[in-house]
Amino acid sequence: MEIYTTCSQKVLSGVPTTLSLTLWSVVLALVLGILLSFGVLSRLVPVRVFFSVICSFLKGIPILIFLYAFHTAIDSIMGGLDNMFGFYTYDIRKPPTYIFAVFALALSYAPYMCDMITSAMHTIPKGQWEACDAAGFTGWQKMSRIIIPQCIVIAIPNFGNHFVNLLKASSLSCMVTIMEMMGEARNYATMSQKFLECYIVCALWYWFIFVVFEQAFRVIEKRTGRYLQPGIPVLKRKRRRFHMAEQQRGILEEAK
Amino acid sequence: MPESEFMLSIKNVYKHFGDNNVLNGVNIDVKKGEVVVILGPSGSGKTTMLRCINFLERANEGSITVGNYTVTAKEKNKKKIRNLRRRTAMVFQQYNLFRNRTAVENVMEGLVVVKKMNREEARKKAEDALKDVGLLEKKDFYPSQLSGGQQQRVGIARALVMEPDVLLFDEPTSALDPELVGEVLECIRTVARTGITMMIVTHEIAFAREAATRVIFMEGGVVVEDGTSEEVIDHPKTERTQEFLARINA
Repeated sequence: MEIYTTCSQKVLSGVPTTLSLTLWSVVLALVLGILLSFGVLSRLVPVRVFFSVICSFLKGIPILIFLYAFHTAIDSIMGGLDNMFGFYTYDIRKPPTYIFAVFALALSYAPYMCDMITSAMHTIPKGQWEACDAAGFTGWQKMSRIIIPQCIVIAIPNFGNHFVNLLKASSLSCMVTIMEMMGEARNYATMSQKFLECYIVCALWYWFIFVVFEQAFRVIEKRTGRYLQPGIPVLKRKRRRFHMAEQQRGILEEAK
Repeated sequence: MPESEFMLSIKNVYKHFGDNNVLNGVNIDVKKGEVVVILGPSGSGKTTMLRCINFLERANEGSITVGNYTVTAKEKNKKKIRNLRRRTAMVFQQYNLFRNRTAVENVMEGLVVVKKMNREEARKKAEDALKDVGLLEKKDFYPSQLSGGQQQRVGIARALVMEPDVLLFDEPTSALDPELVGEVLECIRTVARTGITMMIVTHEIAFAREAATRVIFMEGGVVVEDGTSEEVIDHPKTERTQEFLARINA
């Protein structure tokens, strides 16, 4: 029994690293995905082809290869940058493995983010664009007020999937010496020689975190997608307050 | 004749999709306050013509004048096209309400975004417009929570609140079931009485007969017949119009 509690403690000490690793790589993947989607949705055919090829290239490579490749290249990249800008401060004994792991995870998920964005774009009915055009919106007004808000709502379930997938994929980064949940579990497993127990404990904790995020995304999905569901509207608190103010104003004017 | 006498002038508009010539030189001048109903069989270019007016479809040749603002079909400047669009408003066949906005927000949207009105003022104006179409109690409903007829009435309020020079209706009742057509037509009729210039593409002959001050029959991308509803619907001159009306009335 003791082995389970100790292992749990070890694994939990890796949770912050796992979460921050996931969060940063999701953010970076999203940024890269947005950039890629600009290319993929471009009107110019060569640009579109170029970015589609990049997407398929990134998609076709296992995450572990990204991690190993970046890990191997750390010294030469960092050393090169160091020399180029003349800092001469790079310490070869402390390579920034964490940042490179974030980049590796982000790069492998960027094309999925890009797909998520482009498919969300394509599901917006043509009529929504036309209604904006007919009213005389500028391109920016159209995107920022109507199209992108709708895209976000459509993309949220997909985004949730990618998020939890990335959360699980972040366990691979234990292969490049990052001590997140899986890394801690492996470490303790070799120390205690109880491999199976450690892996099971680690798996259960992963499952727990997964459930938390899955439920969170389910709630977000429901709340943001409210306008797509038929039925009686649930007034937002903000709007109810507005009505109160409106009524009070009416009473005030009557009193006058 | 001075140009400003007409609220809307469509001059010599040609449009083709690939090899398919949809519009072959359409010329229509509409005076202020006229309610023009455009009839014609499917594929006669009615809708395309309407969409060319606000450049949702770009004509290949010709020019569009709304009020005294002329834009030619070759215009590249987006701002000029936008200015033209802001002088018109459109009611769509599929309503095309902004799905992420409630009814009142849909009506407000143009006022806030295009006319730069402040939100409180716009909301008040939008609520008035919704009252006019009889949907004030539904103002906080999202489009998905409204029936087709209600959505279309919100669409009409949204177009009306912009106070356009010309109001364009693209088959406003074609997507509705027969029971809901009535409420929308009634709504359009009320709007027509306010004296706003309107152009309506529709298949509702009975509606055309009573509400239109002018009826245009299109076929093969040209205007075949043009006159009052009596002239065109009751006493059509060309054979093609007679044939079309006979089939619809049967």
